[in-house]
Order: sequence, then C-alpha cells, then structure tokens
Amino acid sequence: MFDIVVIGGGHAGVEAAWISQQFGLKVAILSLPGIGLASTPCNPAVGGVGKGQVVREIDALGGLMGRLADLSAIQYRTLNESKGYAVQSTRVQVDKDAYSRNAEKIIAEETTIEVLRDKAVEIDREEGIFNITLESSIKIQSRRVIITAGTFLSGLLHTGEEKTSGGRTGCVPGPGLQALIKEIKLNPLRFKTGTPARLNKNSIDFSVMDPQESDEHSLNFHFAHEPKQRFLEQVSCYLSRTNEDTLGIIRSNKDRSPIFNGQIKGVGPRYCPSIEDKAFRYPDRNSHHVFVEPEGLETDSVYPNGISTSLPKEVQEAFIRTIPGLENAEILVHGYAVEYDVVDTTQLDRALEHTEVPGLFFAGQINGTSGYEEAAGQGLIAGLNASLGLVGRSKLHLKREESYIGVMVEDLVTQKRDEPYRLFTARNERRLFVREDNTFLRMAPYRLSLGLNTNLDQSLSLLVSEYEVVMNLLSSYRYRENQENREHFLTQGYGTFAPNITLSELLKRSFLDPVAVLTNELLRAGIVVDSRVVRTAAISNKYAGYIDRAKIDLDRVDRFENKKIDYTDLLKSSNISTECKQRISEVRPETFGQLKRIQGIRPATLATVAGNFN
Amino acid sequence: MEWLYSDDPIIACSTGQLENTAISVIRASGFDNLSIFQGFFDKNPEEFCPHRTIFCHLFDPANSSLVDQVVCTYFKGPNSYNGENILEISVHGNRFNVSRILSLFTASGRFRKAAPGEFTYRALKNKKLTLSQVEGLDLLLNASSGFALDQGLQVLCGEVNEKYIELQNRYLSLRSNFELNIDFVEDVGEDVADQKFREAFFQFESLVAELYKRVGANTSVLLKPEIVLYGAVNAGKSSLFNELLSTDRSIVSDIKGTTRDYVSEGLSFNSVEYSLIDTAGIRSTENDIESEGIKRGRKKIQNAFYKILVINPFEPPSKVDAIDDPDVVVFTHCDLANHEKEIERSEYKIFPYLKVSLSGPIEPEKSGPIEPEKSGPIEPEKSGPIEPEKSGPIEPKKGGPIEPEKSGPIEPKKSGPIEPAVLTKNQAFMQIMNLVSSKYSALIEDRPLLLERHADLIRTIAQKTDEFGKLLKEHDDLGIISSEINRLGVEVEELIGSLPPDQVLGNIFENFCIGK
Repeated sequence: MFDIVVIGGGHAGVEAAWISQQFGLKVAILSLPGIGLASTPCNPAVGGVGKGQVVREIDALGGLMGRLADLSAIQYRTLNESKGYAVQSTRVQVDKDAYSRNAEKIIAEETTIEVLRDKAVEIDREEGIFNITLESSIKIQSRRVIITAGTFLSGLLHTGEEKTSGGRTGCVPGPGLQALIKEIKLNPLRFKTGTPARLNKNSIDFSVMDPQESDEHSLNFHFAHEPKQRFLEQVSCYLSRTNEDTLGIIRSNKDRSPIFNGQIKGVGPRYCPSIEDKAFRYPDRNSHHVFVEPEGLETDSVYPNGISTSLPKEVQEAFIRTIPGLENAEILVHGYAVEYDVVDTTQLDRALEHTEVPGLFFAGQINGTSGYEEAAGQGLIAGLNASLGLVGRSKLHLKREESYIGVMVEDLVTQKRDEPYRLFTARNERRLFVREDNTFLRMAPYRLSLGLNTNLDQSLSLLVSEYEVVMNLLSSYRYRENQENREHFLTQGYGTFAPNITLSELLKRSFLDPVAVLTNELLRAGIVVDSRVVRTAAISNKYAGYIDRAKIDLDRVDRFENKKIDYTDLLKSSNISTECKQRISEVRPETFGQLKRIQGIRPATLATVAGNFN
Repeated sequence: MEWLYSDDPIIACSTGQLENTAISVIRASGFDNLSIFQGFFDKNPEEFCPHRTIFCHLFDPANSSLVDQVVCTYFKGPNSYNGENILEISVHGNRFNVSRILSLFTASGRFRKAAPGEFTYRALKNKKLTLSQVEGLDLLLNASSGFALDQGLQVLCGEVNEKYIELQNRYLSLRSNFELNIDFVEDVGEDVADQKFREAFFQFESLVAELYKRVGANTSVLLKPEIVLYGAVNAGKSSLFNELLSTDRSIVSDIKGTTRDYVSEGLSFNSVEYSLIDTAGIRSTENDIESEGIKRGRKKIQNAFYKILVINPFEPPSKVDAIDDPDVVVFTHCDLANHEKEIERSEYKIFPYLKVSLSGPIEPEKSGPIEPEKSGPIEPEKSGPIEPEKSGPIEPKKGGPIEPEKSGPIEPKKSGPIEPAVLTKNQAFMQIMNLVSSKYSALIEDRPLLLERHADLIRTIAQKTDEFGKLLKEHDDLGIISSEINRLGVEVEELIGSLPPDQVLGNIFENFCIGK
C-alpha cells in the first residue's frame, strides 16, 4: 500500500512525488516504459516571462525544478532586462538528456520514491482506497492518487494524413481518462498542441544566422546554488527567419494541413501557433522568427523554435529548406500535432483535488495548461496538498496576489478554459510586487507553514532576516551635511546633495539604478549581505510607493476581494439565474473575488452578494 | 431593500397615478408563464401571443365580476424591457380604477407590488442595461430640460453611451499594446511594441480629453438649475422673488419650500425648469451668522447655478452680500432720486448689474427713453470656451451696468459709464431670465455630462491620464508603468465595466501574430 501514487513521470509528476516524499510518505511514480523522468518533449527551455517567476516559487517552496534547470542549463537569458526589475524573467536552454538524467538520479539517490515503469489501465476506489491495475497485471493500492498524464489520455498524433494513437512520438498511448475513472468530467473540448521537426546540427549552416550568447550575469534559479555558477558548458542559440518561399509552400498545401482540412478537432493555443496558423491567419506577413536552439551538448538534435507543424513529412522538408541556414537541413524527427483529453478543471478545488472523487488530484497538461513550468507548479500544489491531507494538516492555497502559481491555480479552477492555458505576466494584477527577485520573501510564510524540517528553512530564513535588517537600514541611514558626503554624491553621480537624505530616498531617484547604488553604499559602509538580498531590498524600496498606491486603488474596488462567501447560499437564492447558478456550482467560489472572476457572472449577482455583506 | 434579492412576480402602474387619465398602463413582470393570469381575463391568457395586443375583459377572479375593459400585450423574455416575461395591461386611467386593479392582483397572492425602480433593477440584473445606462434612463425620466432629456437618451442608448464604450475599447487597446512590451516582445519586436503602445495611449488620451471638456464646469447644477436670490433683509429679495413668479406662465408647481432657511418655487423659461430660491432666512446679525441654518443657506447660495445679489443701494453693505460673487446684481429702489450716486459708491458695481424699480411705475430716464416693447434677449456677453479647471460656475466676464438692446438710436456717449435704464418689474423679469437663459445656453454648448458620478469619474480618469502621461516621460520601468495603468483601469472599470485579463490577452492574440 502506497500513500501516494503519481501517474505520469513528467514535470508535474516528478514535482508531486518529490515534495510528497519530504513528508516521509511512501510514494510511487508510474511512468511509461521508455520515457525518462521529467523529459522535455517540446522546446528544451525552462523559465521565461512569468514562467521564470514560477520556477523560483517552486524552488522557494522546496520543489525540484529550479535545481534541475540550473544543473542542466546550457544557455541563460534575462528577458526584459532593459525594462525594469519588476518585469524581468530568467530563461535557460537545457540539455534535455542531462535534465532527464539529473531528475532520474536525484529521485533514485536522494529519495525513497519507487519508480514503476508501467502503465495504469484501471483505477477504482473502495472505502477511500484506490486500487490501480497495471498493464503488467500487477495491482497496487494507494491512499491518494495524483494524475499527471500530460497528453497521454486518448492522445492522437497527426503528421499530415498519418494518424497514430499516443501521447508523444515513438511512445505507447495511454488509456482514455474515463476508462481510468468513470466519475471524471472532461472538458468538452479536446486540446491540441504541436512541435516542430528536429534537425541535425551538422547539416545546418549557422554562419548565416544571428547568434545569441549565454548571459553570464543571469542568476541561477535554485537559491542554494551560487547565483552565477554554471554547471555545464554554455552554448549559443541562433536566429533565422522564414520568407515568402517558406510561406508559399505552406499556403499551397492548405488541404493537406490537418489543422485546416478538419482532420484535427482539438483547440490549439493562440499564443503558440503552428507555422500553418501563422501563414493562414496573417496572410500579410511573410517573415517570422525561427530560433534555432541546441537540445543538448552531446546530441546532434536542434530545435527550430517557431515552425511547429503537422504538415506531411515531405512538405515539412520542403519548407524548412527554404529557411536561410537550413537549406541542407536533415530532419531527425518530423513535427507533429497531438490532440488529447483534458479534465474539466472547474471540478477541482484550489488544492487541485477533484471535488467528486476525494483523494484524487490532477496536475499538469491534463489540466489544459501548456508549459513545463505550469505543470511543475501544479504538481507541487497537488503533491503538497495530497501529503498535507495524509499527515492531517490543512490544505495550502497560494493567493493570486502573492504568486504566479496562485494566479494559475485560481484561473484554472474558476474558469472553463477554451484553449490551452499559459501563464502571462498580464494575468497578474500585482506585477510590481510578484517579482522574481523577491520570491524568497513571498514564499517564506508558506514555506515555514509547511513545517518540513530541512536545511531549506534555515537558509531561507537567513535571507529573510538579512532583508529585514537592510530595509531598516534604508530608512534609518541618513547622509549628514558634511564635506565628505557632498563629495561622495558628486563623485558617484548621485545628483544634488540634500542634507539628511535617507538611503531609501536616494535609491528612489529615478535616474539611479537602485541595485548598483545600494551595493556601492553597503560596500562603503563595510556591511556584507547576500547579493540577492541587496537586490531585493533595493528593488522593493524603489517600488514601495507605487505598490502601496496601487493597492489602495485596487482595494477600493476589491474591498470585498477576500471576503469569504458561502456559495451554497447563492445556489439557494431565487434571484440568481439558473445559468449563473450552474457556473457557481461548478466553480464553488470561496471569496467574492473568485466569484467576480467567473465568466458570465457580473454584475447583478455581484450586486446581490455585495449587498449581503452589509 | 428586500427586493434586491427576490425575483417574485411583481406588478405596478407604469404611467403614474397622480391624476385621472384616459389610459394607464399596468405592468406585470417576472412570472414563469401566463397561467398565473388564469381567472383574470375572459380569454385564456396562456394563448396570448407574444408581441400582439389582445383586447379583453378583466375580471375579479374571486367572484368573476367585470372590473374593466383592457388591452394586453405580452412580451416574452428575454425579448422584453428587463429580460423577464412581462404582461402590459392598458386599463382605463381613473386613479381609483388603477388602484382597484392593482389590489386585485396583489390580493390574489400571485403578485407583489413592485418597489420603485424594481423593473429597471431587473433589467440591470439581466444585463439588458449597464449601470451607466440605468443612470441615463433615470436622467431621461426625471429631466427638467430638453437638454437633460436628450442627454438621458444619449447615455441610455446614444452618443454618450457609445463614447463610454469607445473609452473602454481604447483602454483595452492601451492595456493590450502595453502587454506586448512585456510578454510578447520576442514575438512582435521591441520597436513595434513600443510604438503600438504609444499610439494606443495617444488615442486613449485624446478621447479622455474630449470627454473631460464636457465635465469641466460644475455641470451637475444644470440638472435642476437653481436661481438664488440673496442679499440683506430689506434689499427687496422677496418682492423681486414674488415679482419673478407673479405671472401665471412662470408658476409650475405649488409645492412650497419647506425649510425655514429658504423658499423655493419652480419656474419654467425657454423649456428649462429652474428652481427659484429666496434665501430669506439668512440674516446677518452677529449672533446667529454661524448657525446651522445660516450655513445651509450659504451653501445653497454657493452651489447655485445662478446667483442674484439684491441690493438696496440706500442701505449700508451687509455681510450676506459678501457670501459669494454674484452672476448679476440687482439694485432695487432705483425709482428714488440719487440712486446713481449710491450705486456709484457700491463695491458691487464691478459685477454686471441691473437697476430695478419694484415700487411702482417708473419715470422714463432723462437720458433717453428706452421703452423696448419687449426688451428682447440682451446680448449675452460671449462666454467663450469654458475653462475645465474651474470647478465653480463661469466667472462673470466683467462688471458694470448691463446695457439692454436699445430699439432707438444709440445715444452718443458723453462722459462716464453708460447709464442703463431703470427697469420695470416686467422688464426686470425678462432681463433676468434672459441672462439666466444665456448662461444656461452657454453652459450646454459643450454638451456637458450631467450625471455627477460620471463627471467625477471622468475628472479622475483625466487626472490620472495626465499623471500617467507625465510618468511615461520620466520612467522607462515597465513595472511602474504597469502598476499605474492598472490604477487607471480601476476608474475606467467603474464607468463602464471590467476587463478581465483573458479579454486583454484575447485582444492581443486576435491582432498580433504571437508565438515562436
């Protein structure tokens, strides 16, 4: 008997299992034979705008992804670097083999997790215990089950006219979700995603492309790593572009495109269109970026980012070879699209537990999200909450005002999704506060509440207390009127000297880089603090006024945001339409803010509820 | 406010019950189906066709006695005013008949009497109308001038409503184009994203400026414009007040003002309903100048649409005179000799003024008879564009005597200011009302927005837009800009409704080729 069985060994599954075993629970991962743990079947990159924040949140909560990403990174970038600290995000290209190898190694060496290379074919539940029948006819039992099956449930692959069952090219298909658990309600839409062909590095002429080098200043994800340490050799990515010939070939093969000839019924993400989508939806554009990204140091495979496709193989070859540098490109694996089942996430609660089937959790792409980071974040939440339940503690809900994971989970469970969900910073109302640099602060209270007795708490607490010391210093440290200080301002380019100006005020001067100035001033005063603390303190100080001001405005409108409501009362109310009631009963909002964000709810129901507060 | 939470069938008379009329319309709303009317008509209500009129007899279901001959129209939801099933019953409009019929329905237990505004509340609830539109409807129903009436309609379904929707669209565009700069730079390119954002801000800013022009002056005073008479106790306010109301044409209401602080009467002129207010209660004695009643009176004066300061030039200046700057000064007792000399000594001669005789027929002036049969509208001094920054009423342009249009030859100027004629009571009425009317016309020239909540929000939006424009010049930190865009959005949301992030993202995906 296991405490927790995780079905699926991808990013969500690994994260769920990793966090669960920290509670001393007996955990198994069911992973299909032939696929490594935490594999990266699409773009070999971790992080990105909004997603970098998620990786750091996972890391600060004790997850694995940040560590794996650092250990496997072969190129670093800080996105939006020139646009202010609040909107910066880290992204790394990873060596996909190393990433999976590191995951296997850490799971095998550092944990008691049992990895079963087998497939679940049936699950039933008796008296709160799940009985899982595996393909090898073995039956196992578990108190909790977390399904993280990605695109494997009733997965259907398309490459031109060819259709094969499966969740990924070269892999066996998984069973239909409802065959596993009959009570599960599916999203009425099937989703679709796609991936480009993989090319042989040796057949590419990189000399005609623009190189993008790794940024040595970007900071590692895992807080216990040296911020700028690199574990693998760093390589470049390259930029090329499609042209009229490329798009001409695609446009003349519309009838052979599974997306446009009706063969694919699933809904794909608009933010991650295939090259066919781009060709037909934007007929005026004849050039799109193609980022040529290495998939690893040892492999010859490269990932041409921007031309995901499900066109027939010969059409893929023809259009790829029109792209500068790819004239002689040899295709290692052809691109394909995959359609798959997703669950109706409005049936899940904020712990990602199914409301109709207690003890059953869902995380990752099966919940209709895209992206490794989104998957891992959900895996962490599902694993944490499954474990907390087993050790008799209350569930952990991250708030949307404080984390991207909180934004994502709430968006998923309160709204029916009509296309794959990806995190964008635009989804976050408090971007100025929910930043990469202050993740350790934002997550500290949650981390502490988990009560895991690891070194993590101690070292994170150290950062938090250093931060508090520095923040106190900022408001108390004043520059007295004297010749030395005047000269100091002059030589450092700090602008006009103002007698008794505080360090905090100085850092807010709009023409100064607060991080550089604070680093400089602490050095002058001989105070040694962790560089990340300096960074966070300087940035937090700069934004403090804006954050407060926005909070006042948002609170005015959202003064009921966190007001608890009892949705069952709403269901009994006679003045709420049946349609609204149905949405409410699906979403089960717990606060007024959540009610507000349900599609098709406002304004009358809101007026009703708000009126009831008084 | 129990009714906020109920969706019981309701009934009420929609055409008013103050007097007897030929027809009154009774409206029933919120029933599941027409079977609720079983027993009320000589025809089977369940066979009433939607959107057709049906002539029938109305019965008392208790004893099947005939009550009235009526015409019914059935509006089947959601294609009705408020989205619910509605039956409109046109009955004979005798007040007692209407009450009796309403009681029949409520006594049957199948209907509850609707609370005021409840039909419309349900329209709001069922998203037939937005909050702004409901406010427009309220303005339409309670307008006291043709202008207000028109604007009510424009807010409900016309030009103003379209402007608000356009403002929301431009804000959406602003947000979307801003987000390009953060989440989608790799897709659209840095220069394109920045340019798109600045264009979108320019578009938003120019619409805000356009709307702001329409809320500049204190426009809510135009809703029910008040003309206030103030001045010392013996200045002649009350007799001027009575004079202004003395003609039949001006009396529109017999409801007396009820407070002891002032007396108010309705007065209609050029299709605008004004309230004429005599602040008789304000006295300038040392003892009670700060009493509550006085404070209220002062406020009444300061907030009035049109302020008339009445002065007896033979009396010493009073404290009341100084409460606020008048739109016009009326010097009374100008039938008396030497009044010119007294006016010359008055500090209020710097405001536009009229000289009036209230005591009886007046002698024509020496300086030439101006006996305009109708003095006609005096040329309003050109007010020019209203400065939006000013919160108060427009400034009097310049002081001095107001020269009525002369029908006769223009008197050559000799020395000193032109001496205007002393006006009779009737002339004074026309003169004053023409001045009031000119001010009103000047103020509505820019089609000011009358609804105070809207005007306040637009002022705030304008102020925040202005701050935001400055911020853009000083900062290139997108985090800060983002935070301030959201603050702006909070206000736009209050005016029109919210824009969830999915809508912003959807807008981006529809307009840009996103995705690597």
